Amino acid sequence: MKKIFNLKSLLSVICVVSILALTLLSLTGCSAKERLYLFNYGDYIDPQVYDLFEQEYGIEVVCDEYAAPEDMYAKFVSGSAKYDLICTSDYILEKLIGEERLAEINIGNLENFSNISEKQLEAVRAFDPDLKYTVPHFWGTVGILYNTETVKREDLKSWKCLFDGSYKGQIVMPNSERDAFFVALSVLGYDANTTNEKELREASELLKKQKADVQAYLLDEAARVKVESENADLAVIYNGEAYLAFENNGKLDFAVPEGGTCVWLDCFAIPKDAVHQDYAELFLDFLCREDVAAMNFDYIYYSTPNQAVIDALDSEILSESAIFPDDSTLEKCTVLKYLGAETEKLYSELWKNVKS
Amino acid sequence: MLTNKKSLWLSGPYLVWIAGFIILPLLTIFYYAFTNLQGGFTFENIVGAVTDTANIKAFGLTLLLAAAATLIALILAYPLAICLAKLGLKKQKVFIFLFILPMWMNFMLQMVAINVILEDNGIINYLLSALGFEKIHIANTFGAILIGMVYDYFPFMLLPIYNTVSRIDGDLINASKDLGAGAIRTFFKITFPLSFPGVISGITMVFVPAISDFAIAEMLGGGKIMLVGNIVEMSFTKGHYYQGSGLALILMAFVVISSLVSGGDAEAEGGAILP
Repeated sequence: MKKIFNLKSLLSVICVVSILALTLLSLTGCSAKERLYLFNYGDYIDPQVYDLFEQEYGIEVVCDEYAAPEDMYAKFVSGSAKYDLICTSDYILEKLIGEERLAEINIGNLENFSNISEKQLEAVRAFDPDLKYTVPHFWGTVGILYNTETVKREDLKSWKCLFDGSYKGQIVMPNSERDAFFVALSVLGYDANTTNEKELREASELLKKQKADVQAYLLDEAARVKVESENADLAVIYNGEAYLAFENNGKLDFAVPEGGTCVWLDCFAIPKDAVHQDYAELFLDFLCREDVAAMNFDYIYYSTPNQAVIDALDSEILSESAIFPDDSTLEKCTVLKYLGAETEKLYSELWKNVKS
Repeated sequence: MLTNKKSLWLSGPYLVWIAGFIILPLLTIFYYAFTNLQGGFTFENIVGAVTDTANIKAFGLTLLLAAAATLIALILAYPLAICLAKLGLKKQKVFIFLFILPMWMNFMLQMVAINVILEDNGIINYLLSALGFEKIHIANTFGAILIGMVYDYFPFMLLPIYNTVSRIDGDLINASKDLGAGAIRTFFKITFPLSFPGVISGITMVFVPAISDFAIAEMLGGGKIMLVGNIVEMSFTKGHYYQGSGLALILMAFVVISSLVSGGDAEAEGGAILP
């Protein structure tokens, strides 16, 4: 009897050990394949682009996704995962550059970099003055996606319509602190990049008061779907979502309040501790290539900085002001800047108070 | 035979698992909760967790919501458990299967579906307006989260109660009736006391996960309602590990207290039948 049971326990131990060994093997075995680790906003690159890149260069792109830029920063800085390439927004890039966390990109290695429009590069200089650390991906503005049957266009001349109670329970606000505060600061007539505590507290009071009228705080696609499905009349949203919304629901339109809005620029950057800066540069060059940039543009319809793609577009899409804001709109746009650790802390405290 | 000592080391793989994925993270949370940004010892995070007005509000809301969800689940589950226990064994199995079925569906899908049902132009409002009633606004409110919680945790209330009720010896009920007790008296003197362990177990199994929940609130509250779990999540995703850990520790204390109040062996009651 005793022996048989010993055999059994021996067998089970062998099983467990071999399972563990197999798992370890399968984990380490993967490293044989060449990989590029990317950290990006959700759904920001056409998945077919990854396949094409793997076909052409034999490097697999592994992409982690995030929703809000502050979340990206927290995870990136914690070092819990190492990335070869990241994509994020202007003020976070400014912070990362300031903290010397980014590697200089050898722009000379990017043959297709010349496809990026001069105008766009000028805008990027606001946070990367020597154009050493970043390669633009998409850019855009913040505006209001609305249902033309229930919302009057002339109301949308000012952001005030979101705060005066005229669209009670029908408003979707961005679930991202800087974007939400920008709207309130703009109504109060303050600078979007203010670090004045009194002004910020005032803005947070305004947002808190507005909350009763807000249906939900959502980002990107979730906000778009709310208006598309006509469960909300208007949403403060990135312009790129608007074009897709039009395609899904003919009653919708997009407006940028005349008082101006903020313009955002999302760029790629290579972390200083990237294992494969060479792969990252290869992929960046690939992304700047006209056909690849066109694939990405067709995938999400955000404003592309790629002049070659723009030149090849037909005039119907080019005249779509939701995707390509006209110059008079852009003149009144503000780029969000990094405000320093102190203000950043105040922001999260105030945002928490608004939401709770 | 396998002696206790020898069988103990068969649990080795699980002990490794526990050390890596339960003990280590717990210690990390303890470390962060009592550490300040400079790396020194502090009570600041703990004190901050219970004095911050947003947190106090969140604790109130969380306890209220968890209690309401537990109560509603109990009110729904208890009579149902009694009904089920009276059915034939085959029918019991079918019905229990039906009540467990939603648990097989992905949690995210459940929540998305509930949202679609509750939305202003959702299924409920469609039916209401088709029948000529006023539309109700329930999406992204406290009520929506409550419905989501009751839906999600209902099987955890039903199964332990059903378990104890179905094991009540019919002879006891008959004896009570023979001795002249009416249906109501029999219920309060026999059925209810005997099912009590199941009720306690059900309450624990709904209340404890409900107070630490954040996903239901996030998905059905439209980002407008912050429970303690949401604030903890927000602290961690924004990189405020110290404050987040302080708050998580307080929340853990609530969980431990509510588990202790309802007795240590409560889990075993429902755990047996749960898939």
